[in-house]
Amino acid sequence: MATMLEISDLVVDIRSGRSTVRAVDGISLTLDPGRTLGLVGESGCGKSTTGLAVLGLLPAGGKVTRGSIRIDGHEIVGLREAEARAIRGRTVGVVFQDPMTALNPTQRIGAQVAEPLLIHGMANRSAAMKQAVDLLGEVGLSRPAAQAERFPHELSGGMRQRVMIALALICGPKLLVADEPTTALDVTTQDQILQLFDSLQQSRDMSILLITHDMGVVAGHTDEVAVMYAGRLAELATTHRLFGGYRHRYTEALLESIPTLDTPRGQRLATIAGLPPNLGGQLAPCRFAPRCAHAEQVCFDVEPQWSEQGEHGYACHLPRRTDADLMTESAGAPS
Amino acid sequence: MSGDRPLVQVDHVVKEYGSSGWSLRNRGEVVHAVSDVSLSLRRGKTVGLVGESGCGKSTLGRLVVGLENPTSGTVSFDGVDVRKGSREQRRRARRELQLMFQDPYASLDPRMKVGSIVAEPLVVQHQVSRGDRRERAASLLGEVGLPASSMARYPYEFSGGQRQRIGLARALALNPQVIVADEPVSALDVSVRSQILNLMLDLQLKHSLTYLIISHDLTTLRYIADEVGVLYLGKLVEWGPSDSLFRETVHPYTKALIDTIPVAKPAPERVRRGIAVQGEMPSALAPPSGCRFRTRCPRAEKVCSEVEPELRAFGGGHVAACHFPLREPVALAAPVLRPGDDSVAEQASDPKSDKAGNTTS
Repeated sequence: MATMLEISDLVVDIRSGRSTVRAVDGISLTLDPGRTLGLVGESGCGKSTTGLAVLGLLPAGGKVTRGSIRIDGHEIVGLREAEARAIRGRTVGVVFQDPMTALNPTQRIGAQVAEPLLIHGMANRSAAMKQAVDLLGEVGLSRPAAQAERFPHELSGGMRQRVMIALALICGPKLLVADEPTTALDVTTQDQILQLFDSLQQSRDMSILLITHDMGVVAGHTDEVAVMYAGRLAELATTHRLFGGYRHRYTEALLESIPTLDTPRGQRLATIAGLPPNLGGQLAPCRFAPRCAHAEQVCFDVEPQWSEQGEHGYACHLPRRTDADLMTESAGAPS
Repeated sequence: MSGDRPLVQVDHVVKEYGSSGWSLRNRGEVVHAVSDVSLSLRRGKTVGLVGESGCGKSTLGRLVVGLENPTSGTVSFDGVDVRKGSREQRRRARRELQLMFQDPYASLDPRMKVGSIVAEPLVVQHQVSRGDRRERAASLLGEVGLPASSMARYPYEFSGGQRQRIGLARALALNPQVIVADEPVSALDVSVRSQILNLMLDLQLKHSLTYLIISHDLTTLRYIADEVGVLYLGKLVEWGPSDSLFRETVHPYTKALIDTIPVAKPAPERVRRGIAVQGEMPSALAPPSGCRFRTRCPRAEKVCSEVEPELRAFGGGHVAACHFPLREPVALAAPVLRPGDDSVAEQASDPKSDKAGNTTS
């Protein structure tokens, strides 16, 4: 089976004024059909920039300076904009965080959802409207025909996000890029929307690139996880393997700083010292080293290489030992 | 007695907006933001308020610090109604109850230097001379982990976490006893959140602060709060000690909130389960009759639309308002009106007590 999305050695530079920031620095990912890949990290780690590069929506001054992005087998880096758009238009859908700013406030939602079909010449006006209404029903709007006549401001945040999802799906994409799709929503609504993603993915056999800062969302709704830090990939694994035995010290620190329902009350939370680095400044060879509790001299001298075992890869000199490692060691098994 | 008295008491507070008819378009329409909520904050303890957007939790926070006046009901600080006391008493309440805002990007004046931002409350309350103000601002910044050199810089030069520290320093400027924090960490990155939560715990111990923390994030509250109240569409539906609320949940709405928390833990497979709660919160312009949660509740029956459930005691200071609770109450006919008051715990542990009844009488 061909991969739906293949990113290799992607580098994105963003120039503002005289300075250039390398927002994404050599990341490689693959996403198979019908699977969900979670791209997780803190603000400024490059996760959204990666998504925007796939979508061809990099901000002014942003440019893919190296690497390749293949969507459904088609290379889009280096193509002229019109050619890339022809590939993306029918293959890729997008859902952003804030549906209020992403929807046109002056246009009825039915017409907005139908518009891409008209632009891509995939249906005439009446057929497009019918498809839009059907899809609004599928994403969970009750009385979709009546709702199609309403304006975005008449809907709640959760309903607007459902409209955004309908808009993303109208051309029947094979790949959905969702950038923090539930961050602005309440937990109960978030739960509904994430379950909607799950069921839509099954019924449509779509691939989803889910960009989020929320490890909890990733744990429950993805097949694979890529953890990014300061423009680089820190760790990449199937979701099950990652949460069962994360290796990178950044993943560890991130997961341990989140209070869970089992954290004893009042116990001090583990913290990650300091702040993510300024990508325009001097960076340590291991970019997490200055904040890492386990860092040693080597982390400041040598860039950690990517090591991969089965479905689990990471770049860390002093990775966390998993339970399996500890058992092997205590058994004194010679390797 | 005054030693045991709750530091802040919120009694039957109602806040409605738009009832004065100032808007032609919405004339006669009333937003029921907070509907008859009572609760107490005990000295040195942390209360958490949780609920979805529009449930009235932020309005309640603003009512507690006096930024809004209740339509009816009272907020008292140290036994004195914060609106009815003498001028000096009201001034004191303003000083002792401080608000820490949610959005560190919007709540700091971008054209003021950090030193002035932190010292401004001292100017307003005529606390100290100009020379001492600088010294005080520097020491406040030190307490929240920022260097004194920050005073000469502007808010844009700081990260979100640092700005929230500045907001905390400003809230501490007048040595308040109570800090109401509205979503103190929700705008921050995960790794910075724990820094701010730890700082808030340290400051609480050092200054015996009483916290009212408002959040949509139950996990944070479970961790930081001694007691948690759950609001739904302006009503307090459940209240209890943090552990009890999570382990022995009573209200179906609280259960739904807990079940929908995404958990960052290894799952054997991607979890497929039913949706915890259907639909969205109805409009506060026209709350449902009876129990306000009934339109989304999996357990709702006819009585839920006819009779509004009262808060009942479920033992150990845990109260909830539900006709079909997830476990049985300890005192069937004893509505408890002010959660968080010590008498609730006493009453709950002794359901046969003669005093079980109206605790506010």
